[in-house]
Amino acid sequence: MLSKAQIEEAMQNAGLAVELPSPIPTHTPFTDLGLDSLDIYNVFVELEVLTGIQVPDNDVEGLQTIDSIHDYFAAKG
Amino acid sequence: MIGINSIAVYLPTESIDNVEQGAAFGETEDFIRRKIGATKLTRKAETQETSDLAVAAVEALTASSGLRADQIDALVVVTQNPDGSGLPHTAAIVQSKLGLNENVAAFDVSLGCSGFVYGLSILKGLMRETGLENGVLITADPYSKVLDPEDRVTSLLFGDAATATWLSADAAWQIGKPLLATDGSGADNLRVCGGRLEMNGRQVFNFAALRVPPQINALLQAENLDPEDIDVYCIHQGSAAIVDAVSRRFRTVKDRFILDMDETGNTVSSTVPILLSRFMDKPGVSRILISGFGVGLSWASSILTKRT
Repeated sequence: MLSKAQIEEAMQNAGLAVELPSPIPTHTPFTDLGLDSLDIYNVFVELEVLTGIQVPDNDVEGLQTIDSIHDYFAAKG
Repeated sequence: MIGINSIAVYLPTESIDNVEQGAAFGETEDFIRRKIGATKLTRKAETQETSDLAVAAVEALTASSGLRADQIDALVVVTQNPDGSGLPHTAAIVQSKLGLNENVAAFDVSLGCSGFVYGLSILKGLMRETGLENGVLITADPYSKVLDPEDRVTSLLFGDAATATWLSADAAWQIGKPLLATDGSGADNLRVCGGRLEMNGRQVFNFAALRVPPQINALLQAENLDPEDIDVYCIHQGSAAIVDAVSRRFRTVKDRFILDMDETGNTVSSTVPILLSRFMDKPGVSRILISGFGVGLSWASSILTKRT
């Protein structure tokens, strides 16, 4: 199962142009953290590298916080 | 051994201010510079055909190298936006416009951003098999023909350009055995539909970020090289974000991945030869890894080595 710490680490590894707070608030939408669409692509690339799970485009739209990503991967088992 | 002798580039004089265009789509200048990587997108004139871009590139090649037009005996045009509807093939039109003699093998190759790397091995193999002596590999794929100016996803990325690469025996740069790959299940992610270019930006980005680094690693391994043995990585300039996503997988040599598309944009199969024309004569550069990836989905990588 993917932990919130692993999601945060994936964000740190995603080469984001914005300075992220530490720890990253888990309920704050990525756009409020200053991430743009390409940053979010990068986060999901890191998550796929980590889990081997491809997240469909339609699902990404609803996954805009660490909490929601955590819940999504938890449901995937 | 057949290799690369010289490369010439033709860039149309017209261009679009991409910062202005980005603002119209609600994008900041910072986004255009740091994520797209191009503040200017070159555009062919309305009256220019693909073959005109190709002819201009070959004329630039003959003007800048020792190659004479009458020495050319093989002509390959990499394009998916040919003259007219692609029948006849653009290479034949280029042969005629350049006034080349009839003993020229001329044909098109339908590939996008991987086309230059594929084209090198196609032309090299043809020349080796047939004994042809002076081959010219042209890239000319003006996406402005199929861009929808209202489409934010594609309009901010692509520029027009053409390049011409002279292959001959005893050339300065040797072309290594390439790794070539295809995943047609992703074909719908970048395609022309009803005359309009459509792109699933996330899927194309994922493809580049996840499939290209393993191929580069496999090539290095096949050649028994470490990442540090490559002086310059000239990979397809899809966007600044894509170059960054690929290069991030090579932390120790990340700064050797060239990003140089500010004045042109993504010129499809021309991005790699444009980079080569700028970097292959730099002092201290003797081994270059090239990688092209995109439409198909298709990806290809090879290593060029300078003869000592």
